[in-house]
Amino acid sequence: MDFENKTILNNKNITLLQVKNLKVYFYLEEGILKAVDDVSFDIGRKKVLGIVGESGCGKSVTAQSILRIVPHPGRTVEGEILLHQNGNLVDLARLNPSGREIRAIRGKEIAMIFQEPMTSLSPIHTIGNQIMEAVLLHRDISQSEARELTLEMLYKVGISNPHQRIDEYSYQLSGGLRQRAMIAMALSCNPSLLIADEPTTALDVTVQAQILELMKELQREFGMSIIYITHNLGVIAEISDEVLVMYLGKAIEHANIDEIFHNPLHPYTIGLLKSIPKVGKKARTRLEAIKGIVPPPLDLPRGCRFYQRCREAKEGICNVDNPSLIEVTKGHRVSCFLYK
Amino acid sequence: MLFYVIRRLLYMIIILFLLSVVAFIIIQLPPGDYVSAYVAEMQSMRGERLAEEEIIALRKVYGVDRPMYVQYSKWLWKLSHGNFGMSLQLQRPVIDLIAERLPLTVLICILATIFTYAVGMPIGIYSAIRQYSIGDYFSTVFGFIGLAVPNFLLALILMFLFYKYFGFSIGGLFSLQYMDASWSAGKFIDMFKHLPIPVIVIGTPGAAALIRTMRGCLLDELRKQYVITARAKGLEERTLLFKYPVRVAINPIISTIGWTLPWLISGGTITSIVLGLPTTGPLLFEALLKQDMELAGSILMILSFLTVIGTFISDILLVLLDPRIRYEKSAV
Repeated sequence: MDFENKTILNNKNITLLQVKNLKVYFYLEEGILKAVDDVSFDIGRKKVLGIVGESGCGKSVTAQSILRIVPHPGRTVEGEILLHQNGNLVDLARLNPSGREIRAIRGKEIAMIFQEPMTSLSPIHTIGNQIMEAVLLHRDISQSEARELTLEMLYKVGISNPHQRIDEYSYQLSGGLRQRAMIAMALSCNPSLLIADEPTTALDVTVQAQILELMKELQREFGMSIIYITHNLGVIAEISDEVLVMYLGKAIEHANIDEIFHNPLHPYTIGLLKSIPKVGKKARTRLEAIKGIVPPPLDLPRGCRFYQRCREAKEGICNVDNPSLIEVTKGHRVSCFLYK
Repeated sequence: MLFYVIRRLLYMIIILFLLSVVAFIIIQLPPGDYVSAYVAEMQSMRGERLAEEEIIALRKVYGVDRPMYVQYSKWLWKLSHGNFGMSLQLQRPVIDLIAERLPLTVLICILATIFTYAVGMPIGIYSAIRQYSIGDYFSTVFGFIGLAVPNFLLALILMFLFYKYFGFSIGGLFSLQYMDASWSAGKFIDMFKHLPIPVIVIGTPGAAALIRTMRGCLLDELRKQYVITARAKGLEERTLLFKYPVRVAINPIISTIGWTLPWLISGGTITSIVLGLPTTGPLLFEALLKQDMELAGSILMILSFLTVIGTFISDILLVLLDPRIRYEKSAV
């Protein structure tokens, strides 16, 4: 305990958010779906953490649980989400999800942008109205100052002609512009953490690159940390400092970006990296795919969740116990019996 | 926008013309005409048999001997000049008959509309945000019963209950002593005692339907991403609810708000007959039975006019409220 307090103290200036043993379960009629099952990670100030995994691996739910907006019937059953806020520690997991404290953090300390720029803005309110709303909610400024600030933000996210755009509706903007408007909204209160849940997935590849570039630029300017959630390893390589790989609600590997790409340890990570098409590879060669499909998340069998699909699986070990996430080399954690 | 309004007004005139043709045909559809209905009534009620010459004379007087298209054009000509004609059966100008009944009809309508929205909207919203709660199930049951029970039955039940537990008869809008009295404070109070039942009876099916519509629309909206965006911004639940999903879910309801106009007047017909209310509903019913052409036609045309106007108002409201539709219209 003493030791732990000391590390927190030492990390005061570099750690922004610590997620410890987070468990988020969905109580469905068919049973309990363990969307996030004992996940822990830290994120430092001004760092970008990429969370990567297939659909349904719990990466979005992890993000939602940080803001305490996990949809019904999901519940954060265990764990801590510690936010370092001017020297204070706040456990977000313990706040009332509709209470005053978490609302003061949402949008102000931690902001979020989403996958679908088409639907994530209200169809019947102007862009300006929605951005100003966030500003007015968290900052003590007047209507006209908020409008000025909104215009400035729209300009900063690269929307040309902000004076016209501010009074337009989302359907009048293209997908890329909408996502830019979302980013402007998220950054309008200068948050210390931005959670980006697949922000470029629904966009054209060229627009994707522009948005990614914009986010990197804005990160330099605003100095916020980013949790970047995607299934696209190429995007992760572009933007992240660290990577967390998730599989079926578990964190299975966590390391800095170079380690993940040059020295992946978990068979799943290795498989993911092999499945990326590479320029310069001989044409018409088959991409390697991970065999099998993700098992249904209800009633998971004993042992490692990747067991059925793993090339290295050892009967009697991997299908009996669940490997825990252990540090193999400094800063490189993996959950696999191959590295004990 | 101005162009849109003008175009809509032109459409309205065309539609009203077509409706007048349909109304006329429907009134003429049953075999016979006013004179044959009159002759049959004379025969059955008083046992009098009219001579053939008399009947022909009557036909001439009432103008029902002329060909259909002549009757129709005469009627339309008068109508387009604001002349609603005479009631054959009551021998009084149609305009007087309607004017007598219109104020009370409108009063009941307005109160019933207020009742419909005051009950339907909050319960619908509650039902959606507390989906599958006990309150939701309760309102669902209420909604289905409200929709399924015929108006007149509800009227009879309420009349019975009021009579049994409050000890006064609730039929009509006035008690006997005020029936033919001129307006006074006493008559006014008496009327307000009688008002709740017709208002509840006429407003209930609408409220029940509105609960279902509101619940459905809002449930659709609550699942949308922009609601989560707003929540992630740090908005308080209630503010969020009314600024975003409710505001969007209300649009389809607004687009039908105008339709309640004619429905409340005609939909109240059977209720009004059961409750003995001096509204336009029973007047229309009687006129249709007797094939009283000018009276029935005029009321039908007024109802049609209200429908068209109601739809028009709804559309204009929707254009004002929903920027997406405004955008499409301005692009046209």
